[in-house]
Amino acid sequence: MMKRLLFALLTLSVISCTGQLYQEYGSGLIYPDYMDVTIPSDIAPLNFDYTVPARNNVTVFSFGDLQFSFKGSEVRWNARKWHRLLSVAKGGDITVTSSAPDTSWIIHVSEDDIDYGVAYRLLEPGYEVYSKMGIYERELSSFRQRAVVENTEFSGCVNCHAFNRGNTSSMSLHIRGDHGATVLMTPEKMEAFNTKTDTTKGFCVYPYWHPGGRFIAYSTNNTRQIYHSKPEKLLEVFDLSSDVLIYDVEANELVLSPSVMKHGMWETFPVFSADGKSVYFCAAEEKELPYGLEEVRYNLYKAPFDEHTGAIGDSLEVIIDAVSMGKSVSFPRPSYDGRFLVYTLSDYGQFSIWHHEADLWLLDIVTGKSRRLEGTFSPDTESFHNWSSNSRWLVFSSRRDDGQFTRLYFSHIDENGNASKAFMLPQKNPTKYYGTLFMSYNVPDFITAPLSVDNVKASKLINAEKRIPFGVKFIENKYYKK
Amino acid sequence: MVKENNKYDRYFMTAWTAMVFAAAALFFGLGYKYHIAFQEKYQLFEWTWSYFAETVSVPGGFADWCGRFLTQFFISTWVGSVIVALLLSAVHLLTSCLSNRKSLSFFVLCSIVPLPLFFFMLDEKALLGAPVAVILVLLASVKVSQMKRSAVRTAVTLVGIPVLYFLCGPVTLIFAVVCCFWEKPLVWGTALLLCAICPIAARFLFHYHLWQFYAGVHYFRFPTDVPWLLWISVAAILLCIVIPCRKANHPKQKHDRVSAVLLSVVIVIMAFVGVKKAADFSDEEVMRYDWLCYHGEWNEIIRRQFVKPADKPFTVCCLNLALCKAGLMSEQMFSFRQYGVPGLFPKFKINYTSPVQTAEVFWNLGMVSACQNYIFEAQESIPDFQKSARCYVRLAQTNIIDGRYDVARRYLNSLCNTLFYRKWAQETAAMLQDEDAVAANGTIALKRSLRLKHDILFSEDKIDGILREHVIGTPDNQMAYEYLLAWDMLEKNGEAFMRDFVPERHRKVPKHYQEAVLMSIVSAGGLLDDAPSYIDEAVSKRLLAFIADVKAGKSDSFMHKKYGDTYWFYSLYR
Repeated sequence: MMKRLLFALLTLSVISCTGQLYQEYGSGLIYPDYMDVTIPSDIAPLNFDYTVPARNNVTVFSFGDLQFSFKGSEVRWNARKWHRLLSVAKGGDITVTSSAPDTSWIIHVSEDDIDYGVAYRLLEPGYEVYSKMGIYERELSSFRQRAVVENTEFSGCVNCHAFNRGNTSSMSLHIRGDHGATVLMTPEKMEAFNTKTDTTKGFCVYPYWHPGGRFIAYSTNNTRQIYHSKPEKLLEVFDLSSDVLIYDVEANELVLSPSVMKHGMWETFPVFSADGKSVYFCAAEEKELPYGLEEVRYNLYKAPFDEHTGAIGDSLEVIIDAVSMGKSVSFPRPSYDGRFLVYTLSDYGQFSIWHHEADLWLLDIVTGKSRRLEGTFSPDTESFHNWSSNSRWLVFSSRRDDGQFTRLYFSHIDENGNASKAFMLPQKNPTKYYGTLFMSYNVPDFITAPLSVDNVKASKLINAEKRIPFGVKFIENKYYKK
Repeated sequence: MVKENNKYDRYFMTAWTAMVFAAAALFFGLGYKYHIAFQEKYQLFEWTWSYFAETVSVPGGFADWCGRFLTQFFISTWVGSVIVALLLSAVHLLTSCLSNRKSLSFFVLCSIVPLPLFFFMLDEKALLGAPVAVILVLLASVKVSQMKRSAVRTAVTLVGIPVLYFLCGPVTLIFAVVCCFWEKPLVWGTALLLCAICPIAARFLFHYHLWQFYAGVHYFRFPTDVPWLLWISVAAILLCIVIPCRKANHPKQKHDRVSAVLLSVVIVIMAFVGVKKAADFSDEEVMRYDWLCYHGEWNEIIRRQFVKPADKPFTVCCLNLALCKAGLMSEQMFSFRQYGVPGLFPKFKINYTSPVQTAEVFWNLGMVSACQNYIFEAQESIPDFQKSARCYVRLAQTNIIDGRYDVARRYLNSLCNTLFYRKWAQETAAMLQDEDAVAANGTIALKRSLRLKHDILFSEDKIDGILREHVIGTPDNQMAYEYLLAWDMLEKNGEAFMRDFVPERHRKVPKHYQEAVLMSIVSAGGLLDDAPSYIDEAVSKRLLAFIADVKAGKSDSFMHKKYGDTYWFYSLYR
């Protein structure tokens, strides 16, 4: 009886649940749009699907004598053949011809290598509550994704992970919620810290490592979320206050410099320059929130950094005067070769991730000129980004698919700062994968090797009550006395 | 099953089994059906390979997948009740089948085993994967027990432990004990060692706490809780199987039938006592309101007040919504117990149930973005990280209303993989191809017409302000208007009421509004003679009587009896 019932239910389900409605994003011929892109020679196969009926279509990839052809509307590569093609075509152009719509395009294979992989957070893009989420790493030469830390191991949310120029042996990871902590992993040890002190405004977030590895720049942000009634805008994340802090890893001490903790100013998103002698950060004048939200605009500043004491100097220099443009800067990221700095420009506020108008801009540090990174542009959000360790590739998140879910894109930046047309993180079955993925990619960063986090130890550390407190050191100056 | 039983014993066994099944099915079908419906609403079973692969990729995942598969049929509460009853009966029959004691009384005694499991299932946080896991393990035990004792059987048993552990989770302990009980100490020891090692090995492969691998990852919706009743049931199974096994081929007891009857009575009493302890009928009531609201059974909610009045902000919120939908809010809301503004909009809590109800109110008020926010947060709060079919439907709708068709298609795409939401999802997805069809859709057109033209930032503390914006921005939004006035009255804010109240909106001013207007006049030191013309004489006279009784110091119960249905009573005595 039971068997028959189960069989009946099973059959019913199978009959009823066949066929899917996968989404076709964009107006291009293929999804993801890999036409005329520049790719590294060690990237995973660029599988794609035609967005128009192309059952009898023949797609041919050719470079020199090498030719690979595919029939039908799905192009699925054998990994071995793909990597063979790329190794031969390195530095050249692969021509792709398609029979049905009778079109062709090229894929340029760059001579610049890309790092081993990317690490990112995956979570559902929502409001305040989070379901299952975690930090994941993805090998770029294959489709392999691995969970590094997931919130199934503790009650809380993982965010703000940072490596020192992609070096996975040093990592800062912030945990929010019941087991809130900042986990610092260095080659020597892994420890959980309480970064909230009596003299600072809250927990330390938005970490950025000093190239020397001794300091981490953090900001401490009193963050709130609110949402709009208009459908064009969904969510607004803003700070009620924020300061920039420097953490001395060796001394376990927060170095508080008054020049980046000014009254009436909100300082956030600190990063070190490539040579480690300066700090870039965003700062805005205080406004009444949330009603003055659309008047909050951040400029990009630069300040000298003392590598011996961890102090940030008093001479602040406005690098990007976004306020005068009626715009706002967020997420500055200098290239590791010291040549460029990429930042996000939006209409207002600091959390450009939810701003549809946000775009990536590039500052030429030598000439001081800024321009929009055309290769990365789309009508929707482009926001968080990071450089590869050789400063030739940029990974960034974009909501260009549907305006809601961020996906990862990569763009090649040449020595003159020109960005190639961005390509989406390849997937084995991209239309199905992205069409059914309810997660957004957050805070992507390149990694030069697989992450070797002992997740059993990390879980124990996070679940334990013990937290090492941060010490505090004041730098006194003319603006500020202890 | 019992060879030496005569036909009366067999009749008794059949009757007892049928009774156990019927009792469980009737209990869930009649007295606990909203718990059944609740389970279905907070999961989204997708018939896809990726869903299957994701679910089975943790220890116990296969049983969990089977449980979720069956839970989708809980959309019919009777089918759900029958499924739960079948599972409980199966546990009983398989336990008695595994025991080598074949007597009528022992058969009845074995029905103690599903009792803790039954009590376990009374908790809405219990997942069907748990009884399914027990059954799968018992089935495997039956199969292995039927094999001849040999090295092959030993090998099958020892290999079976990690395999079953991966499929069904830690209740595999039953299999290990049952199948190795007669084996040599070395095999015994190895089996138990495997049971102990599997969770440790799992800890290195999967991102869960170690103790979760010992207690079960997906037996209970709250991963931090240990499902004790399930483990008591496991212990009962082991006792029923292992203890009688010490003496094989038991002779038939002299007073077997008498013992069986007496045991039946004891088990029935235990079931009654257990149900009284374990069942949460107040939760059942909350779920009833939620279900009635979701299905728009407004009159049923109002009728329910005469059986069991709403007595929590959550249920009062449903009642007020029902009153408003039925056009009775302004006439009758104070006829029922009110709990202030949380009875209109329950305070936001991070859990997977209460925001859903608040979202329902926002949805009906045309506050689509607030509805989306609350429903999303509720879904994200589901403790075992499942998704909810109910939430997906609503999220698809809110995104369509807001014009985010690509996002809506994602939700529809997932719903297309379900058995019971597929048709709706496909029809809705087809509609999205044609903008005219979308615009002509009744629900979408209505919600779009209620949308504010300008942008406002939502704040839970400023809902009255947002309602006011809606009343000004979309004067046709009668519900928003009534909710705003209800808010003012529940806050006892006469000034705000008089500001928000628009007499011209009414052909005949409703009773509570008349009461609030009079109250404001009297509170401001005015005279009833100055009352506007739309105030009924009867209402004025009643207020005079009310004032006289207040001055006379009448008791609260007297006042409640005489004026309990008025705004004045709420204003002064609540």
